[in-house]
Amino acid sequence: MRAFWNYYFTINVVNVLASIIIAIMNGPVWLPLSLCSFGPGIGMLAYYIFYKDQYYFYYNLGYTKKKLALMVFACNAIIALPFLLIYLILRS
Amino acid sequence: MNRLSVTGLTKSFGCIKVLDNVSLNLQTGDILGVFGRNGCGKSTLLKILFGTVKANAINMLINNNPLKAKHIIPNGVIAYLPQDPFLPNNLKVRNVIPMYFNDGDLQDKIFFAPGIPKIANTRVGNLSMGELRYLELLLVGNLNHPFLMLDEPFSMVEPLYKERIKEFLNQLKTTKGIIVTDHYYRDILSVSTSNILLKDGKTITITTENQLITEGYLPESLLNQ
Repeated sequence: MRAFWNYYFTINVVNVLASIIIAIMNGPVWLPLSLCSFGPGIGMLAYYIFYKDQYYFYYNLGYTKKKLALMVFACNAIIALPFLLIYLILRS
Repeated sequence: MNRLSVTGLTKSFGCIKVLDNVSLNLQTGDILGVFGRNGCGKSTLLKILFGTVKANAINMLINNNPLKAKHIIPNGVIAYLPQDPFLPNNLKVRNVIPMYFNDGDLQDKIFFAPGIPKIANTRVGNLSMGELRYLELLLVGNLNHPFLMLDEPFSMVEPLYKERIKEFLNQLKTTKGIIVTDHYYRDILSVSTSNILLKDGKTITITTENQLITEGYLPESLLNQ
């Protein structure tokens, strides 16, 4: 799992930045939405562009690209969805 | 004893057939050297066997059981050292090792391998090419995978590290089947147990260095040197 967290944090540096920009442009509700939807996608695209060779680091440990992506989305959903629910409850 | 059998491997890029009905067998104790000119399909062959490049056709058996390409990585069947560095540059060597091995004894085995203690606190991005290649090989070689594919392990590596790599490969072959490809043909010939040359998409069995000349991989000026 340690290797996965390294991937996760690298992806989420870009994810958080992209999500903050999206939230500034479209409203605060977009921050948790983007964190578990478009943001990781942008992070993975950036990772593929700049660190494509490093995927072999994870392949050797049994992580396919698909498995890494699913794990990132799942972790971010677990973190972001409660914030989204709290925001929606407070707003209503 | 594990056995990997590949038959009918065909791969084309557009109208260019890079690998044409290639077959190979590998078992624990084997080090198969793969030679070939640039662009002949050596790296493609290894990536297909590792499951990251899709073949047009392939039959793969592990211990006589069919194996699909999509199961190679999740099942940990083959470890692969790619041609380009693959370790995250920002991490220190001492932080990379526990990411690859949970087991304390295995971690110690890497930490105390020759040359590693003095680079333990160095960031991967600051290692020399030889140090990096050796570290990468130690990591993938000590994984519990029964087969190992090495793409140019000797390239850009200083003689001292080359000897360490050869020594390590000779240790590894007691528990693994290994495929190794490199243009440093003498280094390959010194560790391999059998060799093939990839030429025009086909494999040619190589038994002597002179055969690499007659098959057009090495220049004729090297004949009998």
